Amino acid sequence: MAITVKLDDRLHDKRMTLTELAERVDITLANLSILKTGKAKAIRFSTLHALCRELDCQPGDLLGYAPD
Amino acid sequence: MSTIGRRDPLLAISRVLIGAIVVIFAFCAALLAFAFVALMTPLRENMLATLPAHLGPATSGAVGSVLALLIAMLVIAILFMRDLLRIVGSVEKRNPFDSLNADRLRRMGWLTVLTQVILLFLGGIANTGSYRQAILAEDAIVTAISALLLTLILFILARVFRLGAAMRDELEGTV
Repeated sequence: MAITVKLDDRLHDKRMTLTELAERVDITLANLSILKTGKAKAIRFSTLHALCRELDCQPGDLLGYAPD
Repeated sequence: MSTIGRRDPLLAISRVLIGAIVVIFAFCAALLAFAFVALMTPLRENMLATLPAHLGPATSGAVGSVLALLIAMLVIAILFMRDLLRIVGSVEKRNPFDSLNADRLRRMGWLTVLTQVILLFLGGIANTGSYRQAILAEDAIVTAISALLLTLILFILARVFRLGAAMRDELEGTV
């Protein structure tokens, strides 16, 4: 997948665990793990909105593009 | 979250009704199969003699064909009900938009077509005047139209379910 998810860096910066983030954005830990490991096929704007709100960042800080 | 699922009374009643129909049809099919086998024994003459006179002279070939077609229709009906039961089960498991259900609905459509074909053959065998009148009766035409509509609905629903399954697959990896 050419789109990468950079959740780890932001979590580290905010000193937050994945479990804590899952509770704050109201999605399951399993789904957040799927997103973190790059196994998700798509992301809802509502999820992206919640992640940006809780991690205090822009969508571009969470997502990256790596050419194949 | 929808309440449709395991505790839905409609699904529970459907399950019981379909199960009862399957049992009745299987019993009828077994009786007809017994009669079919008996037709091949010396009991044949006695059996043919008991048929009502107004149906005309009956040969063992014609009666045997009718019995075989009726058994085939009952088996088709049982297969139809089995698929319907599995669809009900998939709703109870909250997983109706499955490509398996699309396959089941398409198969049910073809089973309905097959039933109509068998009815045509039965019409050909039962060539007495009273049957011809029945064929031309308004009720028979309405029944034929209903069967055609049922077939169409089943084929359309099969496509709806296939599209639903594809849409669900697409959503599965969405976070």
